[in-house]
Amino acid sequence: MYTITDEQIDFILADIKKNGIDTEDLQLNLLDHICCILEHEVSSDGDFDASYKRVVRQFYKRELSEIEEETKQLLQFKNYYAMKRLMLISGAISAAAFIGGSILKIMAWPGASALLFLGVVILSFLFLPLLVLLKTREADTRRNKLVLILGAVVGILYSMSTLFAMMHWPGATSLWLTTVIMSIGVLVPTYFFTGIRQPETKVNTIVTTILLVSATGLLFTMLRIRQPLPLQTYNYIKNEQLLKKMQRNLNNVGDTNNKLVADINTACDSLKGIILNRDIARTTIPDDAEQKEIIIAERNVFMPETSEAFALLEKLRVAVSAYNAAQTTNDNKISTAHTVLEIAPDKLNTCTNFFVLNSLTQMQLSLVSNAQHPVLTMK
Amino acid sequence: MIFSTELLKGTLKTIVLKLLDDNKRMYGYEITQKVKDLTADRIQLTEGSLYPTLHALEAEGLLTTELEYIGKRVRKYYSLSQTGKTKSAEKVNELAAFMETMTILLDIKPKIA
Repeated sequence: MYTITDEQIDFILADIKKNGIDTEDLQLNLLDHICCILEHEVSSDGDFDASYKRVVRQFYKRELSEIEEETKQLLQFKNYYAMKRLMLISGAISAAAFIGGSILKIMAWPGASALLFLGVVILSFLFLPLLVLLKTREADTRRNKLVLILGAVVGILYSMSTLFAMMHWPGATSLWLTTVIMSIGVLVPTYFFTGIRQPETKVNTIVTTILLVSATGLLFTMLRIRQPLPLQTYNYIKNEQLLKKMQRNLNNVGDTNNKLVADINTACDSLKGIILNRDIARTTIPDDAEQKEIIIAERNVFMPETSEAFALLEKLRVAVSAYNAAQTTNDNKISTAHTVLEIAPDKLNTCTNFFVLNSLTQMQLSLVSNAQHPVLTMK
Repeated sequence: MIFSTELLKGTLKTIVLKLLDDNKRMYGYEITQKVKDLTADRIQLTEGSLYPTLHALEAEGLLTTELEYIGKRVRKYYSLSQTGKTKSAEKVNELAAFMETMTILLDIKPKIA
């Protein structure tokens, strides 16, 4: 019977560790097993190295770590395969929803937001959590698990901030900033310092870190570039200031307002107030709007949920037609063509807020212009 | 004739449970040797399938373990837990029924000794 020395035991243990057997239990089992075979099947003057190689070779088909993999697979929770399938299916569905939603969005077809919303929700609340759950089981160290969890959190934050921006929900900007800070400030350093310590992942870690940082940087730059000068706001503010100036001048010359004119002006101002209040939290454009750097975001949805706006719009429609009916010359009538008054109620949500604001201001301008006309002819 | 691993895969748990039921406590190498002896070398359990199975059975709560130190190395003895004993009987009965069905299905004539 062959006798195994302590040095040889150390050698065998180190060798099976090196060949991918990480579970301590399994290491001890295999060590004892190999020793038993050697003791029983090798003659006392046998060659250790050659015998060991021959014995251990019988344990696997391609490599020793197969045993480790097989053990892990058997030990993994029973619904592992069901979860894995659900993860893959949810990933495929959310990817399909993203592609479909993007195409609809580009073509301005209905259903884009619903599909993109579905994609984000499935990605954030099904795919990514399942991915973490399955992957953390495979991760060997605490730090690797932490990196995985952080990665998923940043992924969820990222898709959430995209969703918030897309749906014009409040807090989109701060969510996006949180995502960037979490990504660059927490995830990337943790990932980098975890990976760089292990020689086998060192190069990969450096490359991936560079890619992550540059991708985030590019995304950040792109978002900044995509914000153009608020030309529409500039335009509207100038129109509004012009209207105010003309109204003031008119009042200096003498108040020519009658009830219809007052009705139209009140309805226009109230409607503008509702739209502006939602966006800049004030109902009128201040005189020093340029200094205050007021920016109105272009939005498609004009009417807020309140029926107040619809009632005002109807009041305006009535007042304008009464006013026009009272005019003796066509020249003095307020043109409603291509204004908000011409849009059917169910199509109002396709108007941008700028279209509505400008429509209203233009109507008020023509009132002022009509009122000024007799004054000008008097001169 | 040595049986293929595919054939053994479905029966490995049953073999291990039954051996432990009969022999009270065994360690890995002992199990492989016992199977070899009992089957006249026709079934040779590979280490690559035995140890994962042992670990899985232990995780399922069917086996209990004891560690014994032999010089510098540790030997892990396996024995059946209470649930393991019930499971062992169940598994053997299931396999016996399966073999009977296979005999009918494949129309195997019993060999006359």
